[in-house]
Amino acid sequence: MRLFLLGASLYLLSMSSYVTASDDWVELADDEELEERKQEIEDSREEPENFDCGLGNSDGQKFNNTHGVSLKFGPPGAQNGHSNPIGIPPGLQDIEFTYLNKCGFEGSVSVVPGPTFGVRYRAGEFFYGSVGGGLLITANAFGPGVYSAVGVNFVRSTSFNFEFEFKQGLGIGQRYKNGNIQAISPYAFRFGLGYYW
Amino acid sequence: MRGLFCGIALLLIFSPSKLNAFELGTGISAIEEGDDRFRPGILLDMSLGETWRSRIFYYGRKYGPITEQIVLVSAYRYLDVMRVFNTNFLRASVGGVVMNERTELDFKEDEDEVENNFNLGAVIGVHTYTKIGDSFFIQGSMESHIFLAGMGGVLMANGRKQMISLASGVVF
Repeated sequence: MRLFLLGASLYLLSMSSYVTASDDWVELADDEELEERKQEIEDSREEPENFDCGLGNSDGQKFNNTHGVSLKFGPPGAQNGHSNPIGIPPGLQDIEFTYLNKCGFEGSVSVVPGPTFGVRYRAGEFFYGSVGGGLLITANAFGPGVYSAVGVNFVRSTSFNFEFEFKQGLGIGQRYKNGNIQAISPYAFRFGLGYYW
Repeated sequence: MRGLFCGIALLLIFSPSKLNAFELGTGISAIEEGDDRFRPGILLDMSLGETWRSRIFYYGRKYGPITEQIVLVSAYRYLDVMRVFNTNFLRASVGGVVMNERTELDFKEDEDEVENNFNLGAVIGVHTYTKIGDSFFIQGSMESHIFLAGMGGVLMANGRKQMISLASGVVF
């Protein structure tokens, strides 16, 4: 019985302290300072001031503080000397898939110019540029190289985003036929739709 | 010779300089037209303020009775899109280009034929630039001049004239 009373007392004591703490919290919650602080946190969640991820000044990356994917269509320039209209429906060589993370890193998968990984940076309201490296593929050879891209985002106020991009690569490739080494420079001229979240 | 090119490339990459208001220079280009072959060409390079630049490319060949002469005049604006590395060793550019492809057939027995093909396009490039002293500059560039292929442009068919160039000149 004594143990029960002792236990009950301790329980009531702990509950009273909890209630007291809750009351304090409620009182604090009414405080203007706390409200302001909460508002600041909410604001910072909506628009991070400088999300550079260690990449230096990223004031151009405000829009890219979100993740994004884009699917672009367009004919590649595979250095085979042929005309390059886009297929109807688009063939595998006409498609490029890109993932963009909130730091500005981008990874792309395509047949031409090839799978690449790089950094995207924004200049002004519409233009962006990318630079990076990867495996470059042409109709005659393939090998490592660097790439650069310049693109345009047509819509920036919604999650969906029309994109228009020119991408060119320059690398050293090995010919499929005889294994000789040569310079390769595939390119692609594509547009498509991106989604950012 | 290979060491000289490597040295110039390293100089361009690791010694970026601020652009100047007016510069005039010349250079050489390796030109590719989408067929995996590089052709030699020459260029005239001039700055139009600190943001804009203009170039004139000339190249061609004489093959028996056929003479080809291609002239491109481009003007582009620098985009400082490579600041992500906290340096300006690379600059992108976007602009416009006009081109004339002149083909002349010179047969002694028949009348000569001359054909001029005029085209408008866009130029997109990557550049690295450095100054030597106060009076000279060197610029390495990789530029793609894109032209839609007539009615095939509906299906985005395009042709490219890519110039990999090395230019140097005088700073005024």
